[in-house]
Amino acid sequence: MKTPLANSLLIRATRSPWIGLYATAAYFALAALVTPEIASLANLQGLAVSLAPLMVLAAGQTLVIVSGGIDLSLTGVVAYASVLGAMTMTSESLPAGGSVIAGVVVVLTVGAIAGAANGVAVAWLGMPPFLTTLVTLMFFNGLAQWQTRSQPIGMLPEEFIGLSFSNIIGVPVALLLAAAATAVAHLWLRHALTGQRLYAVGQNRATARVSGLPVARTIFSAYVACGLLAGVATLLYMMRLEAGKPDLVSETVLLDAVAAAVIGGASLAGGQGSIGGAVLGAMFLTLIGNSLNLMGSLQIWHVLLVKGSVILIGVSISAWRNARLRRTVAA
Amino acid sequence: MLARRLTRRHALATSATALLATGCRPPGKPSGAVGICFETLQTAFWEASYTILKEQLRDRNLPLMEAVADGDASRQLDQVQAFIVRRARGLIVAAKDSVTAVPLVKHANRAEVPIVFFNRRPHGDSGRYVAIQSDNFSIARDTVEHMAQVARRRGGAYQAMVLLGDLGDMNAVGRRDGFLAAIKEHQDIVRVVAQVPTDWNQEKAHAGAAAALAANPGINFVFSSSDFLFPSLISALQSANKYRTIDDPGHVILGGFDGDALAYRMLQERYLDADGVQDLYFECKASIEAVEAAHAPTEPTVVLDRGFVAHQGNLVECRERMWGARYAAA
Repeated sequence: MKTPLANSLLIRATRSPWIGLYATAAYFALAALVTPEIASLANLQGLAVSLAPLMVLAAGQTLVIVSGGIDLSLTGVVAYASVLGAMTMTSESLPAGGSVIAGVVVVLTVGAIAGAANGVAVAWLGMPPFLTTLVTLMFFNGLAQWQTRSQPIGMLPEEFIGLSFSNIIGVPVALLLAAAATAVAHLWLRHALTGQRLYAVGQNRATARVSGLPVARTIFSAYVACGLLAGVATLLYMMRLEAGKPDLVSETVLLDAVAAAVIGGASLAGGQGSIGGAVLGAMFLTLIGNSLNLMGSLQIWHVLLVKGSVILIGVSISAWRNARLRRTVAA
Repeated sequence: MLARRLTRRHALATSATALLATGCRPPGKPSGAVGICFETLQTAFWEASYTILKEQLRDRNLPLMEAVADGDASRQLDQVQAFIVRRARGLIVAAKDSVTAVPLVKHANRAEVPIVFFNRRPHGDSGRYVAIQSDNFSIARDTVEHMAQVARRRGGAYQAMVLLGDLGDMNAVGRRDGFLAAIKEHQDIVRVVAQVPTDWNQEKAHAGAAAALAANPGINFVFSSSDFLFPSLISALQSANKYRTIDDPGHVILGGFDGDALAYRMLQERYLDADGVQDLYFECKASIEAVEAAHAPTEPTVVLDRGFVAHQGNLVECRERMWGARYAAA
């Protein structure tokens, strides 16, 4: 039986914007009791490199969710961008250093173009975000398979893949790059005018339009930013897996990105969410996966069941919290 | 404002407590376990390999850690890293593909943990590892050679179809080359009229085989690069009224590769002429012995499984060595 104090603490914790941090810290402490290796430096560094691309994807997804949409094309964009990026990086017609820079530019450009295509379809053609991005997911997956005949492209330049093993004062470079990308996204969402407009458009599109906000342009910018961040995540995945290929990431990464955003406080109805929350959500999900891997005795279905259940609980708490918040605002 | 400051203080205190309580511990004791990390268990071959490996480890009283990546290369890297953190005495990995196996080798080499690749070897000169691999070329060549001998005994001319695997997979390339090498020796009676790409996908195999049988109704000699494609092939042959036993004059000479339970049953029921068998018991034993050698090799080392051909004339003697026979009985 719960005491009133425990009850009150639980409710306060679930209402708090810091719930992602509480959950991560609590889970980390609990997991460390079962598998002490989780707290070792080697594991924390591996965890950070594994977390980096997901936190960037989740940040991009949050921008779109705040605007009232959703981007289901992320894994397709990652696939195609990785293929074109790997082809550029391994091109013999470019000098060694130049090929890496060209590859990075190609990956980011593919991400931005994919985001722009989604943005135009949703913002100006009025297509439903879920349908539009599902179509672009198929389109980019198809393109990646056609371009490579489903073959992976490896042997990427050492100066590029070497970054996945590099640390600065013990902090993996991949995490620093991801932190920089998410910090820019955070500043844009919190402090730039367009970022602020995203909240207004996501909360009530009609009101935003009547208020004279450039609704279509604002939505478009969210999708482009999401695409760019997908490009950054692609680079982090390529660096880690040393390849570009149509199945560089599995479809479950998409669910992880959406789940991280929602666990981090984003409302699928739009108008709510934060980059910090998404990063904490991604951290929480990565930590769950890491701890289950460390146990070393679980079958894949156990892992999927546990992870699915945790996501469901996290999303339910988030939905309940957002509903309460809306009722409070309405009152 | 005060409430917000308090909440933030709570949050910081929570995270700091968690980190202080557990943070940056020195690595625990070596687990001494062997980490088995498979990309998938989606075919009978992978399922059987996984089971036999675990049984042989238990027989040797070696503790094990296990993980299946469900087709996700990133997850497989996470799993391998987790086993390295747990200080496994060695890793046995069935990688997703030869390219994404490369970072797995690098991580294992950096941690000085021996890594053994089961059935798929990494691309290029990527580091120090042992790869246990079937001799795809020779087994496929010998299987098709046996099929050609059967054709020669039966007499007449033959139109051949081959179901190819994913040609990004070295195993599939070896099997295709073995098929073509054997056919070259018998081109006076066998002509290849269809090479069906399947990418190791049942639907593609069915669609490709059905289309090839429709375009070339004279096909009467078929080799499948993997037994796991047999259900699709049988369905296509049945649709073309060509799935007949060996004793039937309309029989299509059939061969496969792997040695799974379905192939064993097809041999027993006299639908299949020959099957190239991967000696899974040997491959699992060699993998464990490589781990038990307890040190990483100084260069890539490949241990070849020569396998054998099971056919109508030797099925009884082969039964004990054919892994599919055990699963067919179960």
